[in-house]
Amino acid sequence: MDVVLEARQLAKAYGVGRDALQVLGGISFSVGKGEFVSIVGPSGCGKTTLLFALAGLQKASTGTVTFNGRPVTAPPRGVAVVFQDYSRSLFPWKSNRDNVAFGMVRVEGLSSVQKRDKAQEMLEAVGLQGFEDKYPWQLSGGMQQRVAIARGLASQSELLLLDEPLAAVDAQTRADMQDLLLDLAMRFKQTCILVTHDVEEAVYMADRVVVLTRRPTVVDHEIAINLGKQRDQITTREDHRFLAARHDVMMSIRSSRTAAPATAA
Amino acid sequence: MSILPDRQRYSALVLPVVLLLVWQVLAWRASTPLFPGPGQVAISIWRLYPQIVGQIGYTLMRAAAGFLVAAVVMIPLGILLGRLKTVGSVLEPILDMMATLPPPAVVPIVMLFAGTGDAAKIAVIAYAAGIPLIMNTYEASKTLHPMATLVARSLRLRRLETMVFIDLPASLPMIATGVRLAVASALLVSVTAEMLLATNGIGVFLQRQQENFQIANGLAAIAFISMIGLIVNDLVQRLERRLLFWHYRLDLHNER
Ligand SMILES: Nc1ncnc2c1ncn2[C@@H]1O[C@H](COP(=O)(O)OP(=O)(O)O)[C@@H](O)[C@H]1O
Ligand SMILES: [Mg+2]
Repeated sequence: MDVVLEARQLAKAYGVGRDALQVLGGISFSVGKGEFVSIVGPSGCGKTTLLFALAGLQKASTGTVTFNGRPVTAPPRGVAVVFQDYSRSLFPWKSNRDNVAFGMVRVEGLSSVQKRDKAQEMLEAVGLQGFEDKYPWQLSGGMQQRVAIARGLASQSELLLLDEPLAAVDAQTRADMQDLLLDLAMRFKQTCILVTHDVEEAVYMADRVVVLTRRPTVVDHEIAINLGKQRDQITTREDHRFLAARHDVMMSIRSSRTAAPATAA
Repeated sequence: MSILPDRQRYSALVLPVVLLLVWQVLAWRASTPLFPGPGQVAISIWRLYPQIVGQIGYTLMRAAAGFLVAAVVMIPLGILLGRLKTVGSVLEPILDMMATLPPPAVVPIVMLFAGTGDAAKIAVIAYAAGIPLIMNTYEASKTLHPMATLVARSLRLRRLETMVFIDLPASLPMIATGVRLAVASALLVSVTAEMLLATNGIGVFLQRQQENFQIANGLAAIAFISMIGLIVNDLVQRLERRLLFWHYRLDLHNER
């Protein structure tokens, strides 16, 4: 499988000297083309930090990220990010359609009419037909996150990075949006990295789960989830392979919680 | 679309009417040309309005020119300074100092460079209008939520694109505050500058009437100035609500 993204020994400390907080302690993993990879770790372990480093939004202290074989130093063409804070990541002065189209500002070779059409298509793909001319602040949280997802998909990126996109929506909406995301990833053959603290979500969504330790965070281990691309909220969650994977991830998170030394403060 | 609902608008009229009546009564009792009542002022307005309107034209043109110069220079500069954190923090004390300086105080300095003509007056007006514009724009641009920058960077916007497409619209609510202050300031300073650098305009008219103890005529001019002020203020507010519907979360589709 072609490797799209590779992280090698990513480490990141915030601050310097005595007050330094070592967040990432040398994280390595890779993601292949068409894969859906979940990265799961407890809150505060540095998932956002890691995702921003992968996206070229924030420099790691040491280590490298390569995207399609090239080192990432700034946000590369072909990587889109869906942020956790969806309400702030959309622009209130733009209609939903314009927000999605704005995801393509720096996409070359598309006229503004084509971008508009593409935005329309993506809004329909996330189930928001009829809301194109509304503004993000006229939508519920889940719908706003759909707009952000549509924006991420519209830029025709090779890699979609999702930072706990469903952490702030209610349970029913979350389940619906998990299926929506899976459906979209399959339809657009979109390579995805989903970062989450929710173990069940990580397993349900992914072809492979990367389990993180607590700070200073490293990769504890990886598990392949051999449940096929087609998932179902009821049957998949009852499948013994799902339950085994869930058990495995929870055990390792629990043991890293008790075994790890107190973080350097 | 009006700011006040109808009932409130009518009740807002009560106080001015009462004040006008009290004023008229006091003027009758004083019965001297140095204390004209609203009746005499009305007569002055009737007699002099062609002249007043002509003079106000000059005043408004200069106020508008000064405001435009200030807006074109100070809004982009404020956005830029908000991004260039170090330059901004170096310039900040200078801005604070300029903000405390009353615009008429700069008139002698401006006269040195620009003489006493239109250019000088427009420069003074631009200075006065520029202060609230840059202060508010800079403050807004400086305090933008970091999320906006992250999104801009992840969409691979260039610096200039970020400033134009994100920083500027995101700063508009505070810029609007600056605009309101700047418009008021431009009108005020426009009249003041005319009184100091006399040639024409409503300020000169006003000064002349007062020098000749034509108090009623002077008050007529003042009535016109305040009316213009109210109209301009109302226009600015309407424009603001139209452009910033997203800030006030006005539902466009339900409103019309
Ligand atoms: N810019 C920053 N400066 C200092 N500390 C930070 C910064 N960003 C995050 N942190 C700290 O780093 C740790 C990891 O943060 P984050 O990556 O947001 O974790 P997660 O997304 O897993 O919840 C947290 O303890 C957080 O307080
Ligand atoms: Mg986070």
